[in-house]
Amino acid sequence: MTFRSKLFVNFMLALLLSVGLVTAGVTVVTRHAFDEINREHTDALVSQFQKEFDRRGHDVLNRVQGIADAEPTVRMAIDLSRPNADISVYVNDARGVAQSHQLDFLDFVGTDGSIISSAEWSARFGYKMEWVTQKEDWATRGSFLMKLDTQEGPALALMAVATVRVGDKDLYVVGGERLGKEFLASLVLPSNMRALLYLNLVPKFEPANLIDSAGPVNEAERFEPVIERERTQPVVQTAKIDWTFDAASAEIFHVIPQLGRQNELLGVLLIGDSQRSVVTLERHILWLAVGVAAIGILFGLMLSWWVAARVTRPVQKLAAGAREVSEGNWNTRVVVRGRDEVGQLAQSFNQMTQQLVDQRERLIQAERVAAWREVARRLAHELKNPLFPLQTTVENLQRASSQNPEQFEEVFRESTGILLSEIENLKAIVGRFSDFAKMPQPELGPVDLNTIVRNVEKLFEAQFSAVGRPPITPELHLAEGLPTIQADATLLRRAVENLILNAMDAMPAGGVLMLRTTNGDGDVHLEVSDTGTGLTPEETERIFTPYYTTKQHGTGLGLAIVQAIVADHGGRISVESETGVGTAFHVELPTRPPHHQAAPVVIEEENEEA
Amino acid sequence: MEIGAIIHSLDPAVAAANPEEAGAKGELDALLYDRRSENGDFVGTAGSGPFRLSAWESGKSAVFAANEDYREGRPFVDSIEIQMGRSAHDRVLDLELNKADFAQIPAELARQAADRGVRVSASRPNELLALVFLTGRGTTENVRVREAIARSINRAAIVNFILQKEGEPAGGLLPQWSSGTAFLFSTEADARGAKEIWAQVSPSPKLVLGYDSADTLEQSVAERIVVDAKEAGISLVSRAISASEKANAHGGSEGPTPHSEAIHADARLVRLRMPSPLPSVSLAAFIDRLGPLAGINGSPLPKSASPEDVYDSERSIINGGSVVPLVWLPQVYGLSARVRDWKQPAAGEGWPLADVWLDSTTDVH
Amino acid sequence: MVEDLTGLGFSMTQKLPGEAQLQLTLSESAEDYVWVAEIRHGEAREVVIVSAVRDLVEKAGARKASLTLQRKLVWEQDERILDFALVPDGNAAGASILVVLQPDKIAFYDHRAEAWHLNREIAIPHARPVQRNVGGRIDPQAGTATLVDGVCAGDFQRPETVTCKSVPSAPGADLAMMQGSIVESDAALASTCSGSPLMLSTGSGDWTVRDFIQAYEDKNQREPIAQPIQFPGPILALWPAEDGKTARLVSRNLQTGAYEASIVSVSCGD
Repeated sequence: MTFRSKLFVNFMLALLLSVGLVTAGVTVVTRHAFDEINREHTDALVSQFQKEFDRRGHDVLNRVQGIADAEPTVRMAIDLSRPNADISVYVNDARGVAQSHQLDFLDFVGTDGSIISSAEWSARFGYKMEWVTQKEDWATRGSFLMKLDTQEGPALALMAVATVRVGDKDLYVVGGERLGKEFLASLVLPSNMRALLYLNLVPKFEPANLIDSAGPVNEAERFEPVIERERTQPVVQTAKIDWTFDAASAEIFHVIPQLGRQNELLGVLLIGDSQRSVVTLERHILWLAVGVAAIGILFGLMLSWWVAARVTRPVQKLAAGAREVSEGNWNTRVVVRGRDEVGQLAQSFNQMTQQLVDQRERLIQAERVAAWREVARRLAHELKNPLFPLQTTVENLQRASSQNPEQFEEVFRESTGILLSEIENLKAIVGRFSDFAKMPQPELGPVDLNTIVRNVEKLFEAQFSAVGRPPITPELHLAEGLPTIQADATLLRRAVENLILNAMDAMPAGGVLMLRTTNGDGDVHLEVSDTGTGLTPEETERIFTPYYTTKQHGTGLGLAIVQAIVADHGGRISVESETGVGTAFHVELPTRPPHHQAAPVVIEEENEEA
Repeated sequence: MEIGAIIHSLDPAVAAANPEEAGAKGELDALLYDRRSENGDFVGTAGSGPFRLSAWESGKSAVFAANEDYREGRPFVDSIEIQMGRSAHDRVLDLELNKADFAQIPAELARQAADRGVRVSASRPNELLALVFLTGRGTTENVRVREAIARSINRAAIVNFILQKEGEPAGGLLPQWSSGTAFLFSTEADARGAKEIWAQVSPSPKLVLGYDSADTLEQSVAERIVVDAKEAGISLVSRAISASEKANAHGGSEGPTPHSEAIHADARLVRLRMPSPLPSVSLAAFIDRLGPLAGINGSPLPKSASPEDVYDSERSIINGGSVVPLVWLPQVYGLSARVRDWKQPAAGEGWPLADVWLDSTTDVH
Repeated sequence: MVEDLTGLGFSMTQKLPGEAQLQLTLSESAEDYVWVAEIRHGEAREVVIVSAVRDLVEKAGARKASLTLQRKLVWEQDERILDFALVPDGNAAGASILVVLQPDKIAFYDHRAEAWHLNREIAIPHARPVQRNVGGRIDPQAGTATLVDGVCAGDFQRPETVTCKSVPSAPGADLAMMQGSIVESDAALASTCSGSPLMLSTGSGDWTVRDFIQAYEDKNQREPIAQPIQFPGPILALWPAEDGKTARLVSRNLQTGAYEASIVSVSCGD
């Protein structure tokens, strides 16, 4: 992963973490706030509903009292207070009065509890409604819930009783509203709330007795546990019902028991508060938060990338510069604007490379001087040999001329022969130096190393098994698909020849000469190894020095030439050796053209700021 | 001069399916035909009677014009304009407002009409309202079930409250003025006895009492019987029998004899109008009518049967328990102030509209 | 019947347990006289019926000429009405004046646009506080309206001529006038049907119950000759009208509480 990518990832992680934390925090706080508001809202609505319920009770009471106070009722009471009053006259009165006062139930009951007229069940005339005549001050009782027997079965009603007293006789006006779906429909509730009523009219839980404003509730069985709890212990409680797996389908019910006159549980009112709007709103906020977070993240993504790019660009340049240096282009400059640490690093880098270049120059100079010294030493050494016989021969001539003039001609002939021979020797020495000095610059072109190795090996095949010398067995291990390299085929061939010659020289008793090529990482490898006498560590160090030789004959330039050729190709040569085992030369040649320019590589900042 | 009459439900098809209302059609037919045969069929052609049919709009109105050539003399009124389909309350209102001269009023509205100033004429009770346990219903063939229900019924409450004292409790099939022995049949309610008898019925069935959906009196009485039964612990519900159900029960064109199987009830209320003041004739007619409903097979009574025979036959039917007489109803008519010479028709007689005349000097502010 | 049975050797005794009891009922059916004997002995019950054919002619067909009573409500008001009368309007030919006597005033109404409209009201001074059960009566022909302690006089056909004054009450007049003490009130009318006079009589109830008017051929007849007219309350006054064919009647509606002035007339037939 690149530095830019790492920086970008770290930026993103930090951004995601902070955005995530903020989002989670916002969600939690929002949810909590919503819950709080919802709770307060619901409590207020439940309270409002309770007041509405109570108001309906007062309304029923007022209507019943209004009927009791009305003149026809008073006249009825007066009439019925007389002895032998004919109550049959009034048997049909209740229905009309109930309708005009919008009551579902209305009974006129005599002082002995006999029903005079019944609106809802007119056939009940004459039967007793004894609970009405129980000693109770109806004036202070107010409205109450009651279970009534109707033609359709038991029903729940909100009732009130008013009394009209004439003398010692009472006429009771018993009226009320049925608590059913119409009652629930008449209650004013916000759109997300609904009212359910369980009519506790039978001993066992009956799903059909749970109604809403439209009638029996679907899936009423879900409420059975709540209702059973109320039947066991009537208390105000809340219950939550999740209708589906979706949290938005949940509904919180405030359960309010409805008690009768003797505190018996007659009904259970459930005020349902749908969580859908809250959950939906929460989800909206959440999605909004997520959306904002996503936008933020996206923005952060882009910003992070830009920042990372800005921050890492100089570092990249530095890295590129270092790469160049590692590839040998020591004269690399990195231009980084800015005075921060990166800028300072770039400056230091540039200083370093400059120093490297200078040092290399000095090293080259030193090497050159050393090389010249070595060449001078070698030259002096080489030249000294032939020069001494030359001097001796000339001195012999001088002596002969002066001392033995009769032998001068013979001595002259002998001495001139020696002089000419040594002059030839000097010419050879000079020729070798000239050859070494006149090594041309390589002319690069695509070269197949395997081909060169094969050709050179073929060239020496005859010598490997020459008569009069122990045989040398060549082994070729040439990699398939070796990429072509940019090289001078002639010089490369010469280098291979010198390596083979060197190996042959190292195996006077014969042996195995192995030639191996392998594909490297951006380069190709050539290994030339023998099973000769091997080299000592000191010899290994100096093996590539010009004119250094371990042989009794030879100029000592062969491996120096190989090294020069390899270096001119931008490659590297190394040696491994063990005395008595053999020696291996490893040549690495790059596949791309070597840098020969001495011009500096400047790595500029891209997209320079204006 | 015209006399407007308001009669309910004169559609022939309806009358055919409602034998109780066939009486109304029979009343009008009696104005158009000269006489009836012994079996009650009209003799002669329509228009041979005191009136001719001069206009007819089915279910809405009809006009009867005086028959100038009637053998017993032209009626005093020139024509009778009949309006059909008016409800009982509307008929009373029409009488109150003098928009009608004659109308039949349900017995339970007679008192109210009189209180409102309507001139009311009520006959002796000549129509029996009875509860009949339909034959073929396994639940009600238990004698205890019938007895319990019969004992629970409070006839006095029905007469006093529902009928507003226009009627009499009925213990037998014939009224006192006809048979002379009606007092021998008890009309008292016995709620305690009913409860005790019902407790012996196991398992306790849930029973259905049917009533005519178009008859408010039957509905009120049925509801009261349900309440009385409930007090005795008897599970009884009332149910309106629709016109189509009744039509099916009557088999369409097979005549007025109903087939009880088509009625989805265990018992039903039945109105039985006396075709004659003579007890034997009326009882015979009742047996004919009740036979298919209640599975009664009484031997036919001669017209001249003695009171003892009539009583025995009546007692036999009552003791069988399949018929429970409830109340006797009078025929009540409302008359305008200008109607003169109105004679209350006897049982089985038609409306004496051919004999009345209108006093145009009677004026009402 | 007890005398006849005793004469035949039967004796009356109280009911004793264990003995059979006979209940004899004399009844009649549509055609016969029916004697019914119910014999009860413990739980057992036996019925014996003996009948004798009655004259059918008596029952079927021939019926007494019966009458029909009709009531026409003339006026109603919340204040007490003691009496009322309809007199011809002396100022407008063919029109009528309604005179209404109340405990504290007498009022005259004109009939216009199918309704009665108050023409003139005259307060009646009283020598003493108005009695609770005071009565009063109008004599249109004499032109007087008499109360216990007051009188109005004049030409009722011309209300402007009527004046009222208080008078000392005559002894016993209270008793005669007190409505509550009258067990039955009746009016004799000339019948236009049979020619013989008939008697209209109220029921025997008091202030608190509904009343009715029945017609008899004479006061001693038990058999009414017409269907009674039911009233929604007590009848407070019943006087024959001047023409002798109708009666003036004041009643009170127990349901509405209003006082109602009606004219009852008789027509032939049912």
